[in-house]
Amino acid sequence: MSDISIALTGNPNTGKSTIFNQLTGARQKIGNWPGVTVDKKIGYLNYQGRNITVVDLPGTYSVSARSPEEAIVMDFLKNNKMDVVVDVLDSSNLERNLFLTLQLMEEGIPLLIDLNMQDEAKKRGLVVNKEKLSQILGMPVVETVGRRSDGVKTLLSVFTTEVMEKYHPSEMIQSHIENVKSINESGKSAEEIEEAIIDARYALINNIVSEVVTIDKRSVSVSETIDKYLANGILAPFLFLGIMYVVFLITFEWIGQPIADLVDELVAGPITEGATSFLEGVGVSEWLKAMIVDGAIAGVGAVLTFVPLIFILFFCLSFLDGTGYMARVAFVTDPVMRRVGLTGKGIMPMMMSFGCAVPAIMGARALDSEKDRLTAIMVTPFLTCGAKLPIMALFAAMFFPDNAANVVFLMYIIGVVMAIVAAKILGATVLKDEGSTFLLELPPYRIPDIKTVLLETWDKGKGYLIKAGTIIFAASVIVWFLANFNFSGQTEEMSESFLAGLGGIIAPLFYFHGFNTWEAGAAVINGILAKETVVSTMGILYGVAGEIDPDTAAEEAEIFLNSGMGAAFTSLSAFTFMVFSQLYTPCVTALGTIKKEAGGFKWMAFSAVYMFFLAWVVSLLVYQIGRLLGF
Amino acid sequence: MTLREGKVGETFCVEKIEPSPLKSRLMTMGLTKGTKIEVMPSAPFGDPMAIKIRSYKLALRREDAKKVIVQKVG
Amino acid sequence: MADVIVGGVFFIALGFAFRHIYYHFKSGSCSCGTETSETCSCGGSCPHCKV
Repeated sequence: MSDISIALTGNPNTGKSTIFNQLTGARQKIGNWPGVTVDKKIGYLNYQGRNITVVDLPGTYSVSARSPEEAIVMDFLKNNKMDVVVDVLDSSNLERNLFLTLQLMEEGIPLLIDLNMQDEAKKRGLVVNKEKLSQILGMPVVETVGRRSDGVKTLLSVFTTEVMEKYHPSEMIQSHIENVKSINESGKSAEEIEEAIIDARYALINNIVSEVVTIDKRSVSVSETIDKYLANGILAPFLFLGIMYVVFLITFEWIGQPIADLVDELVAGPITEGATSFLEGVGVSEWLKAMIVDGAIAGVGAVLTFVPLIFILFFCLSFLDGTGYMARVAFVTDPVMRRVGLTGKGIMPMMMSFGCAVPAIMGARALDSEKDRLTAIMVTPFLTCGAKLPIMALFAAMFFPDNAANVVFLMYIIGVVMAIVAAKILGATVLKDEGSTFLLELPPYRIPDIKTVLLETWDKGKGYLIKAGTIIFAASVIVWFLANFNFSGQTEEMSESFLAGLGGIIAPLFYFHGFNTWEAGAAVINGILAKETVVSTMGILYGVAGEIDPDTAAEEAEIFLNSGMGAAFTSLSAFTFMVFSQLYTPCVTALGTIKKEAGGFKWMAFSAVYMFFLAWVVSLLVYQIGRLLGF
Repeated sequence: MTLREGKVGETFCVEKIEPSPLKSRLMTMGLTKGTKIEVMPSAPFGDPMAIKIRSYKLALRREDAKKVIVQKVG
Repeated sequence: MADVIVGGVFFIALGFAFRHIYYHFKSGSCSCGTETSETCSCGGSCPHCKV
């Protein structure tokens, strides 16, 4: 029995990913399309002894190569001979969904039409005659309800029994294709041709819809009622803030933090102690033991503690995205975002970057214009990501024990304000002349498919796990080595180590900032590798184990205070250091993503340099004004 | 008149879209000549606006709506 | 002897970490490998993860 290859296409918000996840479950690989950072999802399954490969193409409204996603769909379908191409349609919104269908048929691609969300259409009083649709298009039509597996079963049996070759466009479609061809050859300008073709498509769609869709009854949609509060009223912005507050509570108080504490205990207790006693038991040398325990375990442990927080935050955001609420957030915040030189669509990447700037930068591709996209990419790294949080938590607990939570919150605010200021500055200088637009579908509210939310969370969060096992692991060992060795071998005093030398080179940069110590300099350098290492470097340098999490920060801060770190900073210089850490150059992983997403080394270098410079200036002002005010 | 002046509950018919960078995207999303548009409640403070078109809901800024020439039908 | 075994395992692990980092930065944000191969599905005949 031969294997079958399937591709899924369709508009955004049609439940295509849910169908994909129902089909393939966790047996999927997520990679990138060559040259771009658009997700490429491939899933595998076995049905009645046949191996089926499913490619989930990006959701698009058309395939006019107006965006990388659209280009990918067209290129893929033209260059790969798939056994079946499934076009997933939202049954309650055939009018717009059929646009893509027609466009694909014009390209001669035989389609299997999947009428998804039948339940929703029925609720809205719409009845779609699938036999008639099949007859008009000349293609097979299957009905599904995304979340229920019976529809997916039907799809699967069609995959294995139907032979797409026997389907041919109906006469109606063929005459449309002829019509499009003659428009293309009419010799008008490219613009006129495009518009004439769009008109022709919608004219045909109107005919099709009037034949296959009957309106049973008109009903007031639940979405409109919800929108009255969440999208339209004066309360909407406050409800948004409230919902975000709950997300942060879930992440940092209710669910995320308790799990993070468990991980922290596990690392600090059983793992560190277990490794120590094991290594002592088998009798390895002191240096090797120190490298593994103080270097690798301390460094990786510091990052692992934050992984639960990031997973929970991504879970919440994916869930909200699945409900359709995120589109309303963009809608409600657009007037404010526009004033600062962004668009409402930028709010989603901005919120992502409280977890991690990398998916935020990638998420910026949802923005319409090049200017909006670049602005979002350039300013999101100012925000407090999960990896900067330990820096803030540690310093706040050490130097502002009475106001720790407020100081951390203040850092979040400084990040947001800086992002806004930077967006303004960029809008007035580097990214001046390009217009900004906002065109967004507000899909009906839906209960998200939990499988899809979980897979999305895993997909976004696993990067952190991989990072902990690779970059952080390697960096921790390197930092440990640099901190304990110099040209004449292992050092007694860290102040004579390689790291002290390196830190000492850049320390003078911070002469007017009040933290021109080699330790701070070394931490700043390491922070570019990954922000988490600022804290683990301090830990290694001041000789305390590196795990800090906001909850136990108070106790650990005391250990740090007594370790000499307390003497190295005043409250003011500590605050200055926090501000600097909040704002300076993003980590290498984020820089790599910027290079890819913004399209070039130039933007990456620009972002590295301008953020360092702004951070330097702002923290300088903080320190000097603070001194004048007598802090 | 243009869609920009549309008030909640009013229904319009698209006459044409003036040349703008957004034109082909608006057309792709279904704003073709003769299409009915119902103006839905907008975001707080009136902008962006929301419209119901071809049985789905689309949000756009009033500034972009200025380019959409419409005729009132209800 | 213990040094050789423990150290050996540790440095092999470290080697894998560096190998990953090398591919990671060579290919930008692709989590598994190359971006040069047209047929690569990550895409394709990625030399690193063989996807």
